This record gives sequence, structure tokens and C-alpha cells, in this order.
Amino acid sequence: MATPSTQATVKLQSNDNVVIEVERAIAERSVLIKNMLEDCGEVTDAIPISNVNESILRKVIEWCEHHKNDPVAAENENDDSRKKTTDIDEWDQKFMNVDQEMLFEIILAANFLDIKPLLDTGCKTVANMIKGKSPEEIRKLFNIQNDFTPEEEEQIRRENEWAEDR
Amino acid sequence: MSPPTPLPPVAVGTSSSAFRHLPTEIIELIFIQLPDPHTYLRLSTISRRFRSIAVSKYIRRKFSSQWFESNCDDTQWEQPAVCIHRDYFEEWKYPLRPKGSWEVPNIVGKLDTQGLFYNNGSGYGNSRWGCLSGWSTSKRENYMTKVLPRRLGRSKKPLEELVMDIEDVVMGWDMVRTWERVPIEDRDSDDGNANRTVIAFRYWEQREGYHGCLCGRNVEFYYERSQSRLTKRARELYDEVDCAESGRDLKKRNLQEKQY
Repeated sequence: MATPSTQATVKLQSNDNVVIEVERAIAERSVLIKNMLEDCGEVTDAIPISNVNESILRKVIEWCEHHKNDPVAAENENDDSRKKTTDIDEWDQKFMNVDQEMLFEIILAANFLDIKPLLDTGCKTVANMIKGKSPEEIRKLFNIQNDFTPEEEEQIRRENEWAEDR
Repeated sequence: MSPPTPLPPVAVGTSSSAFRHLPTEIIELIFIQLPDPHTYLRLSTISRRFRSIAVSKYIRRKFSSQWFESNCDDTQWEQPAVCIHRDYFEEWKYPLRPKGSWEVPNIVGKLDTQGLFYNNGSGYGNSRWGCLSGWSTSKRENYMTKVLPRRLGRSKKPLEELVMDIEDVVMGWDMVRTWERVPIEDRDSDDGNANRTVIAFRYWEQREGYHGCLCGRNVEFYYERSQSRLTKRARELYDEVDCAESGRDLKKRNLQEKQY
């Protein structure tokens, strides 16, 4: 009895084997899933999302649900529809207000599922976390090892001197 | 809606989803999304991996064009104006440009900056300064791809050499911050909206210019300094006097002397 070519819902299966049923329109915010559905027509089995665990998948679905009525960005890749760098809408800001680990997981999932606006929002969030911090503060924030020799550091410092912000 | 799901038992701290484990393509995206050039430069100094991503020509330029896209838009008058300092392009980009891993761009001295930033149809044609912000994206694009190649016919520079790079963003960022500091009452002028760039620039030149980013500072001063290695005190004194005019005169003299 399924309506031809437009099922109402699809099932997604996280890598920890939890099946979540979502509206097709919501799942199609993911270009990966959208293409898959287009190529395969009717999909009744759960689609395995092999790189994403349940909690992240639910989080991503929550985002897709909220943004399901957003106009889909122009197919044209280079069209700079990504406006002003620091602007993240309020809902998204709250949504992204999670611990670092989860933030990175969301970014990775958005990348894997090919949800560009979510990927952009995630990267912007990270960019804003870095904003205004000193190199040492950034290393601390993200637990990154400084692997330069003192000579190299001095060299880099000199290289960047021209642009020093007051 | 759905009940809060407990996080799966992943040991915090040993997770594979740490920042340093993000794939390069994502770090690149983060670089491109950075809100200002100083953060970009600082992020480029935290480790070898980040440095190698930051110095890549593609990422630098992508960041730069995205930044200008977001900050130069004549359809939104509230957007801060961005000026490009012609002299900076012509004489200062090379010396200030760091040597080594930051590849030296090919535009200085080859790009017809006069043609690009001068007679831009904004009615500001005879000035030493031109503006980008008065241009819409399509106009800029049109100019870059159709008009400029004809003007530059003799040098036949490939178009990709005309794109903005990180120094331009440093410069632009300084202008943006300057515009934000222009008192509201100074923002209006008889010239109307079209000349916000000019107002911002004048303000910057008069009150802020010497204290902004190095590459946006009084270039005459740095020229002077490089010539005679002024003492620290002399530099301070130089900073104190209003040298917008005197600096320019100095420059003129220097140029004249060069010609003899």
C-alpha cells in the first residue's frame, strides 16, 4: 500500500544497532541518504549509518527536524550562500552548546552524511571557540601538542610579526 | 521529544574524536570559517599540522575570498567598508610579506592596482584610494574577468593571481574595526552612503592608522624606519605627531629623490 516513490518514513540504523524511524523529508536533509533513496527507490530495510552512534544520530536528526523547512541550498557548490562568518542562529547556537567531544562527533557525522549547513554550523562553532585565543590557549583548549622546535617557533613568530594585532 | 539518551560508555579523554583527530578536510573548513585573519594566523602556529594546512595557497585564498564576501557587500550599507591601500599594494606587500613558507604572491608590481582600485566608477576616481566595498559581487567579478584582462593585456597575468590573500584580509579587518569605532555622528556625510568607505578610511588614516595592524599602519613611517632605523623614542615621537600629511610629503620626497 506504500505510495509509489514517496514513502513517508525511513529507518536509520546507528552503528550501535539502534533503529530510528524518521520522516523521509527530514532524513533527506542528508544528501547521502537522499541520493541513496533516489537511487534505490523504495527502501524498507533500515539504512545502516555505519559511522554514527545512536546519541549522535538522534542529535543530528533533531537538527534536521528543526531545519526541515529551510530552503535547500543551491546545488551550485561554489555559490557562496554561506553568509557572514560569525553568524549562527540562536537555535543552532544552543544546539551546538555541547561538550567538545560531541561537537566533533556531530561535525564528523554531518560530514559523513553530507549535511552541509550542519557541517558549516559546526565548523563555525569551532571557529568561534578559537576566536581571540592565543596559540597556547588554543593548544590547551584542544589538547594539542606543540611540535615545533624553539627555533621554528621563533621563525614563525617573526614570519607573523607583520600582522600582529595590537 | 525522545527521552534524553545517555552517552555511550566512551572513556572521556581517550576519545578518538579529539580535535587533533579531525580529518584535514574538516580542519580546512574550520580555517575557512574563522572570523578574522589574526585568529587564522594564530591557529597556524599551534602545530606543524595546522601550519601546513594554513599556508596552503588554496585555503588562504578560500578564507580570504570568503571573508571579503562576508564583509564587502554594497547591498547592505551597514556592512563596514573596506579599503585597499594602493601604496601598500604597490610597495609594501613584498617587504612585509614573510619569507619562507608563506609563498610570495605574484601580484605586487604586476597587478594594475591603479586600474583595479582607482577608477572604479564610484566618483572617487582621482583619489589615491579606491574602494572595493562599493562593488557588488557581480560587478567585481565582471571587472576581474572582463575588464581587467583587457587593461592588463600587455602583461597577460592569469586571473588567479588577482585574488585576495591573507594580507588583504589583515588590512581589511583593520578597516572593519576602524569603521566600527567611527562615532555615529561621524558616520553620516554629505556624500551619502556611497562614501562610507571614504569616511572609514579617513578616520582610520587620521586617528587609528598608525596603531592598527602593522601592514595597515602608516606605511611612510615604516618606510622611514627601514631607511634610517629610528630609535624607539624617535618612533614614539613620530607616532605622536599628526603625520598623515607630513608622512605623505616625506614619501613624495623620497620618491622624487629616487628619480634623481
